Amino acid sequence: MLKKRIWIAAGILIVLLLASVTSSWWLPHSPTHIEATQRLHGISAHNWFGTDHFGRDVFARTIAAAKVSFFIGMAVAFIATVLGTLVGLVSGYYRKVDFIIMRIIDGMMAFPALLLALALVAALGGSMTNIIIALTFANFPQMTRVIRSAVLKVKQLQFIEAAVTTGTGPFTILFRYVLPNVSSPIIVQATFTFAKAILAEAALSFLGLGISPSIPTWGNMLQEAQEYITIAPWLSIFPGIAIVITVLSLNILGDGLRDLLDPHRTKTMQPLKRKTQLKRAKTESTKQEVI
Amino acid sequence: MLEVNHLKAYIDSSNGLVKAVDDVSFSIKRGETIGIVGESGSGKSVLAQSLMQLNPSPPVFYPQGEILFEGKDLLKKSTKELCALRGNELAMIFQDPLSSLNPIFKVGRQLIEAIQSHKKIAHKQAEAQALQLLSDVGIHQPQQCMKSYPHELSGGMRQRIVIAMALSGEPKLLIADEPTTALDVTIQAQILGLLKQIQLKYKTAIIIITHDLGIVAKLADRILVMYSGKIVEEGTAEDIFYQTAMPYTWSLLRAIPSLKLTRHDRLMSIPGQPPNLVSPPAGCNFSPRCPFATPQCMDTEPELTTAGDHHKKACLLTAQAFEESKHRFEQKQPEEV
Amino acid sequence: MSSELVQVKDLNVTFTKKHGFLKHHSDETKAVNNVNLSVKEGETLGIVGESGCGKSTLARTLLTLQKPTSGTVLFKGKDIFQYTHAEKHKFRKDVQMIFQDPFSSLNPRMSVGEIIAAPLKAFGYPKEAIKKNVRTLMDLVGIDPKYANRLPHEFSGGQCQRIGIARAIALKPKLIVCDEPVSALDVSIQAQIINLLKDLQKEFNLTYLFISHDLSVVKNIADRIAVIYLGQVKELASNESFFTHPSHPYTNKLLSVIPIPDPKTAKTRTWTFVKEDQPSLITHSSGCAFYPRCPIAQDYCKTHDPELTQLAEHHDVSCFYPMNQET
Repeated sequence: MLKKRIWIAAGILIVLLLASVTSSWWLPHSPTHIEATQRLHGISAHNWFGTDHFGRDVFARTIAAAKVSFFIGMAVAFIATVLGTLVGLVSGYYRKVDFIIMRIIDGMMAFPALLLALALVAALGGSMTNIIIALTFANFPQMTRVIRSAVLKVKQLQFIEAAVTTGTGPFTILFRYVLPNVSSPIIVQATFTFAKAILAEAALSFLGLGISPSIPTWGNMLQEAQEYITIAPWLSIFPGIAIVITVLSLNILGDGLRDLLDPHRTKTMQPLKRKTQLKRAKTESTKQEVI
Repeated sequence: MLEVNHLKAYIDSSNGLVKAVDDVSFSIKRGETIGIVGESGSGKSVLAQSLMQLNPSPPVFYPQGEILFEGKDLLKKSTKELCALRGNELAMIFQDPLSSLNPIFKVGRQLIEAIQSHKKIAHKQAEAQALQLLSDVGIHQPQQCMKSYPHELSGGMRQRIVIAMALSGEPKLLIADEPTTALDVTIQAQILGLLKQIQLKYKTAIIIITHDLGIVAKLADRILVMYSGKIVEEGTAEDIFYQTAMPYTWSLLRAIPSLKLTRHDRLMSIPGQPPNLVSPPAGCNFSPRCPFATPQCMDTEPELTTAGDHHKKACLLTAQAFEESKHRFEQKQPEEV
Repeated sequence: MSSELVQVKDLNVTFTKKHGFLKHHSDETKAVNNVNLSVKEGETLGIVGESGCGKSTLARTLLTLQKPTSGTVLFKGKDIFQYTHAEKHKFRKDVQMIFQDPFSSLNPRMSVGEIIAAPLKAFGYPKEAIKKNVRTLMDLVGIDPKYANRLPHEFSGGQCQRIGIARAIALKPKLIVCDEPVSALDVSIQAQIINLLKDLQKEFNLTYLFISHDLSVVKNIADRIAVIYLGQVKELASNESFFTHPSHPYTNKLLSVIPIPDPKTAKTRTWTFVKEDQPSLITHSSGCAFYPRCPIAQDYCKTHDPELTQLAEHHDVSCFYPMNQET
């Protein structure tokens, strides 16, 4: 059941990513090809998701845009996770630096994440690198907080003390004892950050502060679509659905991985279906009655 | 008053079907104390919770059996009827007194609410009754105690309050699930004394569930020994301790580090681990760990049979065979000096 | 004559808890209050007390997991809080601990083999030797070495405690501090672990500091017994003398409340119908710490604090009016 959920979510994400990366070979239309005669056409066999106000194929654009969104999401999730984990581990384990680090993090968290990213992009300019930097900066304080609190919890477990008394060094304790035991919050938080970054990128592009409008991204598509929402709703519906599916899959994947990585989950025996259990119990009790 | 007949409580877990309580029967009379002894995983807590119908269902279900309380089957009662019974007729005390009190309300408020849920009386009267209950359970300054939050009190005090709450409906049957395990020995003695005192005063029947044979030796009139979901021996305290008829009870008694032994005596340990309740061993559940097991024990499951006046055992060995095996065992392993 | 392995001298550990707005109030809890003890090589010193009496703090201090407020702990004649870095590393090899909770003392993400190998790795043993050692250790504590790749949660409580013991003896330590090693286990398993600890002691000439709240367990394993009440040693005696002539009123109280697994004796004992105990005293200004609960307290005890004095050979007590004296 749990495994099925994870596989479905991961499957959707992988198919979307592969489709997007290989899109230039198989898409019938180019995502940037302008067809002035085909403006704002509805759904048809020729244009599956219709066309936009320049006559570009929406299906091609939606698929191609996934590439950008995934790249930004992954980059932000990866950098924020590595940074957040390192700072969180140090902060949670060494009480002396904890106070200083946490006050800095608190200061960063006082700004709403999106607003912080917005300000940074406005200051640095709207390139892909700048968006990644801005979103990493906006997301890593929360990551740090989550990891730190997980470390604090693990730190007071007895096996840490046991490691100290057996002469294990602090570096080994931090990476062999603490880190594996905070891996589930790290993974969950990483997938959520991934999802959040995709949403934030869309939001930034929607506000016109994202990646240059010439590159198709879901945010850019939505931004362009808003003028035509009443006459051509497919322009906003399809990129919107793409965002929802991606973010939902990521969240399901994160939750599933957390449950899967719990060491207390026994792998040996599979649960029986409830009905078979009841049946077994009944046959056993009747057996005994006969005896 | 309470009669349990062939009760089975199974748990539907992700690892398979756990036979936590497997064909258990016993009864308790008014004013009597029954001790249920068993190790962790023997199903004693599930049994206690079944009596109160507190087991979450699912995963727990009852494929067979009945729990007759004053002639009526608790398994067939509706939630509403059960609610009326719990607290009024049946009450339960848990192991951890801190988690059985609500941490955000003062003790007085919780106690008054408990009283008012049983009887429709004015707040003033309920308060007077609460004070009376608190002094009944041996609290020096009930007024002050009413105004405290649970975390401000010591473990012993908390357990006294939990007992006071359990008593608020003047129950006919009190089920105490490891009531003193979380407490210090000096406090434990006080709480056990308190339970006895309450029993004398209110004529309450008490079922005390514990892993500590020392507690039941003092408190219980009759003892049920549980092993892997089954009752393996049942009898008066004297029967169990002096006329032990079953190898598990016998081994358990010899495994206790008693004050009678000196440091040069070697404790008799029971080899192996308690059985897995999902796939219990074939035959007698205790046979893989039993020092006297015969080939027959490995494939025939013993039934609870009479071993004396009120004494029952679930063991295939005859009394004589058991005596002989004990004798042989002691000769083979002379006490180390 | 065996020599003294550990000497605890005038040890104090005080916790200060600040509270109130601006943290201007502070409560002092003397978890360890002027404790003097010594442990001889090869013996088992049992430490008995109720929860909150400071016995675990004492253990943690002996392992340098807790810094003392004042006083010294000498290990082989040297103060463990004055150690250089290298000496401290050596000390970690000589002193090990067995914990109360068999589950939380093992890293859930490491296999049992890795857990037992961890101390050997920390001291730079070669890989081959580690492998061989782990196998021997697992055999020694009664766990089949073929399970080395399993995770702790696949074992029962008793087996986990055996794994914890294997880890503790891996470095062939001199002293093992056992903090309530059997109190979380079932009776049948308790006996197994106690017997195992006794066997290992004989085989490796181990010294145990055995902390427990259960006098009957301590009686079965300890050579000498110290009773601790609110951070102070109240009675210190050899096993025989302790149980034949329990002298401190607190010791007598502890002995009288142990549940005896014998209905006849148990039922001849009177019930303790006493009212609740006084709440724990965070600071007691003067007098004997046990005074508020003492059945034989005199006015003198209220103002004077008794010191641990010798009553008979191998029997010290801290009370002005000791009971059951040897004649």
